[in-house]
Amino acid sequence: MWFIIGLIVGALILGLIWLFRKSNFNLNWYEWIIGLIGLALILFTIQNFFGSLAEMESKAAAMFWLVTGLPGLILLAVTWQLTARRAKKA
Amino acid sequence: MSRFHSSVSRRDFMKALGITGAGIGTAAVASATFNDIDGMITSGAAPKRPWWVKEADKATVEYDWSQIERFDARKVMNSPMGPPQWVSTEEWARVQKIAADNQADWIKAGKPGYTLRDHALYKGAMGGEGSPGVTNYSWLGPQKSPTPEKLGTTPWQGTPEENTAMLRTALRFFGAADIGILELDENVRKLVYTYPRVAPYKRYEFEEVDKGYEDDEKWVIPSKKKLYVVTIISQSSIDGYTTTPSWMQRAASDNTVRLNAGILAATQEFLRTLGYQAMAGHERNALGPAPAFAALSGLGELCRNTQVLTPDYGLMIRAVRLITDLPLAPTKPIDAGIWRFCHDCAKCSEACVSQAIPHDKEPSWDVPGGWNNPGKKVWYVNGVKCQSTREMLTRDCGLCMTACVYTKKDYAGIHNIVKSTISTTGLFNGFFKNMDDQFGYGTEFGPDHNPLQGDFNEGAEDFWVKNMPQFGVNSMIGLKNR
Repeated sequence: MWFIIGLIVGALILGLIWLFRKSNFNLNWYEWIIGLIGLALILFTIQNFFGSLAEMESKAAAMFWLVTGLPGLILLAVTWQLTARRAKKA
Repeated sequence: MSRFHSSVSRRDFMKALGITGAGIGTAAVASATFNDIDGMITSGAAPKRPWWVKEADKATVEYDWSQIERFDARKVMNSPMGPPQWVSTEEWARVQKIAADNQADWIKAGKPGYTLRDHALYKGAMGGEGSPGVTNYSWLGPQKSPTPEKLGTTPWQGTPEENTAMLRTALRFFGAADIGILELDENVRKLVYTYPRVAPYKRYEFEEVDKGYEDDEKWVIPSKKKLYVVTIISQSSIDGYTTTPSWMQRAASDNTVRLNAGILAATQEFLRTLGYQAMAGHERNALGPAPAFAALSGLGELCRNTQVLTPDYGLMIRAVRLITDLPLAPTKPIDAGIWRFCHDCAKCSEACVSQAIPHDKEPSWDVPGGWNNPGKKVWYVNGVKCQSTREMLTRDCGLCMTACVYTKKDYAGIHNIVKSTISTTGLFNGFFKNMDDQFGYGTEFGPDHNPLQGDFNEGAEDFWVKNMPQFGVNSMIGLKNR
């Protein structure tokens, strides 16, 4: 599972860097931090979600999306909005 | 000259193996597995302990050897001799009648966790213990394997470290999870019972002889030799325990008891062929209290329900012990923050149907009854309440063990984060206990919600359609190559 997740995340990061270079755009330092924290939380959630399902702990699996997954998604959305609005202004 | 604790460096070791040229990759693999050659050799086949399990000079529970005396195990409530000493005949007859009625009614009604199929699993897992069945425990073992003399050679010779590693490897191979070793010194002798829990009620005696033996009245431990107590833990199935209250839980416990009997017999024969003695008990709880031996030899820490809680397997273990004259290296107690965590948790107390486990934050030196052996500051369990309820639940309960925060499979990474934090600081103990509740871990059953109130575990029957690992346990815990 982690091999596939690694491939997907790697491809996404490469795509992002390619996109930034193409449009001559970059992230601020705090946007990088917020985005990476969000990504880490999502990866943490994915591991624990599937781990909990393997443990037959379905409530725990769902709770991970609520407790760590949702904040992770919010942080990624914040990063996206910050960059999108900055790009729009420019 | 001993090959152990030598000055051979890892580089020399790699050179000797002729694979120095294998490069950084090989070195990295080796360094991930063991820190030095001695560490590798003395570890045997056991998985490396997590970094947050620290060795300690003393077990984390407070105890006072001057207050501890050899205990008569016939006093405990789960001895057939126990209840008449602490409960009136009428009361115990009432409990037994409820137990018999519940068993008959629940089987007949096919209550979840108490069907004929579930009962058969429990009886099968026992393997006819004591009948005699497939699980015969004995003082000196089967004694069928050849001795070194018979093979025309001399007994096995090795350093204590070598012998410990060899024994650990053999026992892992026989099915055990881990072993702990204590020297049978003057203090540890106090942990050996005077009489066992179940018949035959022969006395455990220390005698100035070279060889252990038994006769009609006693099991004799030889005092002339330096002896070691080997505590053996084997895993129980968490899939069985999480069906509790049910007979599958009891089956999960007895499955391990059956395995342990085989492991003991195999170890006794193994040691016999090496040229050494191995004295074990005649039943699962023989010789002395498992939690004491296990905690003092670093297999885990004593916990709130006075069992031993292991860092890797939680409470999902059953322990047996044997005494041997094979020279061994004692293993040290551990501190993984477990005892400190129990002060702030009490999840087992909340789940206890009979409320036999104290809820107090602090443990106590005071024993609630003669079924306890004093001399340690713990949360003494009220054995009368506990055993009466176990009987009425038709022989077992296991809710305290299932409720424990450490009773987890190890697939979700969060468990290691929680356990390593608990080991490092007690600041988040309460938070972790609350989150454990919120995430739905443990058991929904307790004093107000259990089969005695007509509430059964509707999910218990899922046991029969689960993907079941061999023996119902994950034997790869702690190992990296999966």
